[in-house]
Amino acid sequence: MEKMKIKKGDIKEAVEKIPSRATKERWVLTLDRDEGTFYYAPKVIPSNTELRQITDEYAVYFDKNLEPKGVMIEYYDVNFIKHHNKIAKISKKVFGTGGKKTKTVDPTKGLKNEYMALKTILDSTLLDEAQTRMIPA
Amino acid sequence: MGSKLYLRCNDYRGIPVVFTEVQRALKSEKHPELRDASFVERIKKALQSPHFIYPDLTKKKRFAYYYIEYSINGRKKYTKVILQTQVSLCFIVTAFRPDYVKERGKVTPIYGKDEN
Repeated sequence: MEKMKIKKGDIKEAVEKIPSRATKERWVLTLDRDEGTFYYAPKVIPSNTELRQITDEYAVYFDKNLEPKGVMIEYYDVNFIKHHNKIAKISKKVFGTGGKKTKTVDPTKGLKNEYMALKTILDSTLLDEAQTRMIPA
Repeated sequence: MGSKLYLRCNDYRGIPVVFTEVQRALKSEKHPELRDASFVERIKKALQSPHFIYPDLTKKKRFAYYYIEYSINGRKKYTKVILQTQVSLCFIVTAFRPDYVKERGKVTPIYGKDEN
């Protein structure tokens, strides 16, 4: 993929598309406990996308048109949810605690209410933090 | 029965490293870089000539090898390889291309210098 030259304003606009893209493209919530990483993304993130860190907390895979194609949060359990209490509570209901297996929540296959609860708070958190804590472009 | 290997090479210390095909396929769902055939050469480079290595923030005997690929507008792009070490063999957990070092400022590199 070509190296992208991107402005900070462009990134904010791109991040704002996440909630609608996630709904339209039926993104799933995946917690990979072996890797310690959380994904809010299609089951398979498309090729020809490039990872870009938005804040210290999360990164997004973008395509060449700066369309978001998946969110990645490293060190989810040990870092991210430690200072996102509301997400931690819902996440516990959705994913449980402990264990080593990867768990994916696909709203078309169940847990729709839990999915929507986590999606809603996640969407607002991602957008809020992009507004206030974005790392330099 | 042994798993088919996607990659086998030695790291910068001469310790054997393997990346099974099963693991690559599994991780490639969320890391599209792993579906790009040419990325394997970047993984090798990161293992054999890492610019710096951080310990994983949570798991023991797990390390993040970083290789600086290029910089654009002052923002660096890395190949990052997560390695789980065993007694005389290391396993690749996953690999991808971030533009950020998540461990920076939280732990000290065990190898090399991470100069932002």
